[in-house]
Amino acid sequence: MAERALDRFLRTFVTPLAHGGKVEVDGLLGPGALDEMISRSGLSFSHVDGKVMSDAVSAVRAQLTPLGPATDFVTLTPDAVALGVAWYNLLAMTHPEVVKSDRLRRTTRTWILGMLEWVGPPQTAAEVAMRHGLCAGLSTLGRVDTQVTFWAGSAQYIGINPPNRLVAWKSLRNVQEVRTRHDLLDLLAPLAHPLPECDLLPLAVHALALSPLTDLALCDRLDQPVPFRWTSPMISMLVDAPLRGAAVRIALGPGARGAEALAKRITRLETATVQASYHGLTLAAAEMLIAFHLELLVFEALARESVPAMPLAVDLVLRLGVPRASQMCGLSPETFTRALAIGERTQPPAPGGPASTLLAVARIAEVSS
Amino acid sequence: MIERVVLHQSRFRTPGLVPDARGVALGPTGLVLLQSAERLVSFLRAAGEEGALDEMLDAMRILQMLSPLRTREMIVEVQASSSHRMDRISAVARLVGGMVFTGSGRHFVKYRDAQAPFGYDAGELLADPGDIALYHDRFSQAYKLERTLGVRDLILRLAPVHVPRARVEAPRMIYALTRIGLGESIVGYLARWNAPARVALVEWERGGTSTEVERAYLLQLQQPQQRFVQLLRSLPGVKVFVPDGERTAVEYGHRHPIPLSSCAPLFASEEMVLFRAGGDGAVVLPQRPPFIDVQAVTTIAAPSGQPVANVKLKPIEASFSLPLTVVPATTPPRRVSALVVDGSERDALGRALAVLPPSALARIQAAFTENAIYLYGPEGVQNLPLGKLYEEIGAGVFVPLGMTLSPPLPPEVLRQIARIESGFRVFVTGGAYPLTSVPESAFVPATRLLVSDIPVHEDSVITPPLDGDRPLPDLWPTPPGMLAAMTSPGARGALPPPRDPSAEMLASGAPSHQLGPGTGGEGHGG
Repeated sequence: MAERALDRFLRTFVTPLAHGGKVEVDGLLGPGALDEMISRSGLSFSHVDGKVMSDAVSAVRAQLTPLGPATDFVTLTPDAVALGVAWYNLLAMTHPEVVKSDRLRRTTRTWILGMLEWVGPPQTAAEVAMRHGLCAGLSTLGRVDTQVTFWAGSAQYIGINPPNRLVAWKSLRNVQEVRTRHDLLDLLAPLAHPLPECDLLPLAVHALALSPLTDLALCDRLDQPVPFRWTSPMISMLVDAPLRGAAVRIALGPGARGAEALAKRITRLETATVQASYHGLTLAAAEMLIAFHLELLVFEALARESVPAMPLAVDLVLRLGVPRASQMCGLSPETFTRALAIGERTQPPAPGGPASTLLAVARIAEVSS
Repeated sequence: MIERVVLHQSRFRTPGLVPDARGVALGPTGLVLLQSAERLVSFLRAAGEEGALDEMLDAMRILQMLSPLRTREMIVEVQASSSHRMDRISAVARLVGGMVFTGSGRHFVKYRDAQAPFGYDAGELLADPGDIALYHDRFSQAYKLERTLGVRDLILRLAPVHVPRARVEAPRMIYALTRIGLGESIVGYLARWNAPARVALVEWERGGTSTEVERAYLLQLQQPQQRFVQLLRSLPGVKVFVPDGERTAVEYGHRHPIPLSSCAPLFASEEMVLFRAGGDGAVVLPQRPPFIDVQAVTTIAAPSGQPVANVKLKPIEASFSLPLTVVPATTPPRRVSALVVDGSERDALGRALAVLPPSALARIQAAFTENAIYLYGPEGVQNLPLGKLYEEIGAGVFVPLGMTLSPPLPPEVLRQIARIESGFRVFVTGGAYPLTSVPESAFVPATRLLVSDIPVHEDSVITPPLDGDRPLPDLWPTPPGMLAAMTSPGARGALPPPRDPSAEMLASGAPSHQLGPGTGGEGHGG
């Protein structure tokens, strides 16, 4: 009996993506396949192989465990699966042979756009968490290409290992293997196309934005091809206290290995906040970003026992004053000053600092000098 | 020469030939013609391996024939009861280069083969058939009988062949034929090691022209240990045999050319035949010897003469009143199994217990008395740096490590003298009160003594789950850039039904690509 499409998708893509391992991307999954996965099981996944679903749920829960407590969910939600299918198709289109075909680009663009619109932005905290649990592995995903040169010629293997017979007797057959790893952003770069109807890169940005925690986890990416910007789902996510805590852990967490990487990540976040303050940030959104940056500052200061290099957050503290700043991040002034190791009365900053526009948007008065 | 028999043919020129139930022309007797004695042995061996030998043995004869060219050939005569049986014999015979015939009396025609599935009939009978006339598609000739060989004699004359060491299996039973001079030593050795061995004395005639009778011990070892087998094999004058069949045994490391297990009918039920290797011939014992256990035949010599008689017993009337003390032992100390700590060191003991690894702590029991703390734990107390170490000398009696009792009383006797019941651990401390008994029930696991009481505060979880079903507000509905369309008010409404066409497709007037069947070829593919 042939394996069902959803079983195969969960086993070969979702579970290894969340748990780690070899993610298999083979062919495209169209809307018909997604509809078969979701409609046939009545959105309850009761027809899925129990072990396959259990493995996938365990892998997703394992991704959420470092970020906070999770409920005992037993199935994945349809929107998370649909988002996974969209990512599956985007990754399938990164194959050098496939990405050349404009006709295929148009078809796939239509499919993925329909899927992403069906998925829509997350409406609840559960959707944010589930989508991140499924997509968190994207930050570490990569494809290893192998170029094999031997005495009679050469061959390239995209994402798969060369056959053993080709690399046998290395010295005798003068075999040389060059392995190149492409991480996610390298893979997404070829999706860009001058024709809008063939351009798949905006869809990748779109798909990334639909899982705001994953988007945040990739915040230290370069400007090209997918720059980091604050999105509406990300701001909405920060309203929820547990999710905001998860976002802080992600921003300061194991993804930022080493002081240099952490500084780069902080710079990206603060730059994105300053940019957003110039592009119609609402009052509530500005307040939420201020609270988020203050929390980042306090958490990092507690970890380092000194004031970290966060120009925007430090400027915010100086302009708001300790009482207001501590109130915005939900701490008592004593705790706040102890965490930052600063006095309660701080020196007012010079005008025109990085936080001035953000405070103006939030209509918060600065402390007077 | 010979003609093929056709289906339903009922008249044959060869005497005795009749069609059987399958229509195959078959006589009452079958013959296998073999060119040499070696091929005869090969045929018998192959038939034994295949399992056909034992059913042939009942009426089998081996004839040594002389051909018209004065060459000697061997014929095996068997009873051809059915074509099925003859087919099996024919298959084995062809394998070793033999020819198969069937018929009766003196005329035998070639048995059926693939070319003639119903067999053959002779075209014309020989005028002078001799003792046996054979009709083949390549020849028809008469043979003269030179002599008849007995199958049993043939088997007894064949010498066992060597088996490669890798293929020798560990035997379940062995026989050892031991010369008389070695017999007593070997029997005594096996008796001392309590080996499951039995022995018998056997005699047989040397045979040939000699009338001398040879005698030897025959040992039978059931499930022998490998060292016994190796020892017996290495001894000159001892030959080791492994049973092959019920009544025969072949020398260890060899096998008989013909499977003896198929030849059981050739030997009498009480007979026992030992096939020796190296050209020594077989030892035929007309009766199975009576085997006796080696323990029963081992000589037990009494060193002294008459036993002492009339010894009178006298009841215990008094004791020597020696003081019970502990003195340094001359033997090395045994394992530490108990520890006695002074009561004043209670706090230090508690701190020491607290830093023990959990596995060691779990094996320690402690009992508190007015003056001391007794710790018992054969695997754990030696790690504690306090108190006095004790070792157990048996029956729950403990003496200081490296010391022993003086007088050296056994622990059971000490308990009897001190009238200490079971259920008490006895510590020999010396001094005015040399024994201290602590009831075993007073010992409790040390893990329960570390803390007196642990206050428990029931707390409730205040952190909501990450994936709780909490709605998210929309704080920033119109962000700039590429996501403007996605975060438009329409897109942030309720989840669209699965079959809704996308907004972009509707706007562009493209055909509806929906999340549902009917979209054509959107499964796996691309």
